[in-house]
Amino acid sequence: MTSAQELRYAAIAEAVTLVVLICIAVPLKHLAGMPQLVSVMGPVHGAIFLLFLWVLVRSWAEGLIDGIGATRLFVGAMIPFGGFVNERWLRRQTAGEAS
Amino acid sequence: MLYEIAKAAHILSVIVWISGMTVAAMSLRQSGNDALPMIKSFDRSVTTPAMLLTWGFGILLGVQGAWFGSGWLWAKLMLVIGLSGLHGMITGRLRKRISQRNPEPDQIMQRILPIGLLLTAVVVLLVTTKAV
Repeated sequence: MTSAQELRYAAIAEAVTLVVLICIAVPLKHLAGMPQLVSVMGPVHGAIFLLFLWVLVRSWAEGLIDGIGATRLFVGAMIPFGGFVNERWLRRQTAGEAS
Repeated sequence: MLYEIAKAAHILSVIVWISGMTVAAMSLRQSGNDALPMIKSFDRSVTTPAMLLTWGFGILLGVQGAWFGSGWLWAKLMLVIGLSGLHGMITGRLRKRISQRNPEPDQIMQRILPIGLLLTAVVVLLVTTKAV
């Protein structure tokens, strides 16, 4: 797997776990009184987010993306569905890196 | 018992992670590229998995011990994010230097090493005193 693919997969994993946490687990907790999914997805999303940050810093240090690209990916990771938009952007940016 | 085993595994993972990171940073300070592919391979197969295990066992300990309400753990988490960022930076620069076949020593590693050791020292202090 190339560095570009690893960054894309990390971005997708981060985006999916954030959407599951915000759009499914949190409403279940507050509207249906079922906090179990939040207690599972909270730590899972935390770990995936940490992994995404690690891959992001590594890709930046490697020269795969520049500082502006890294900032874009970081900010996008905070916004639900932002990660999916960024993954498509990343796929175009790294098309030449054997994606 | 499970908590104690997870704690032992967490500490062991930290030792492997920090020592692997130190070796990689030290190698980047040297000129020449002969040893770097081996360091990269070691990082991928040992150091990075040790970092992931550190996170995994750390989260398990936080959940099992109900520590997530404690200030010291959040302070420690911030420092761990910093250490992980340092490791990401070292690995990225290692890959860049190998791909560019650049034999020049990486001067920034002179600053990275003490920063990493300082972060590790504060993490150990926080987790042993639980002062915050």
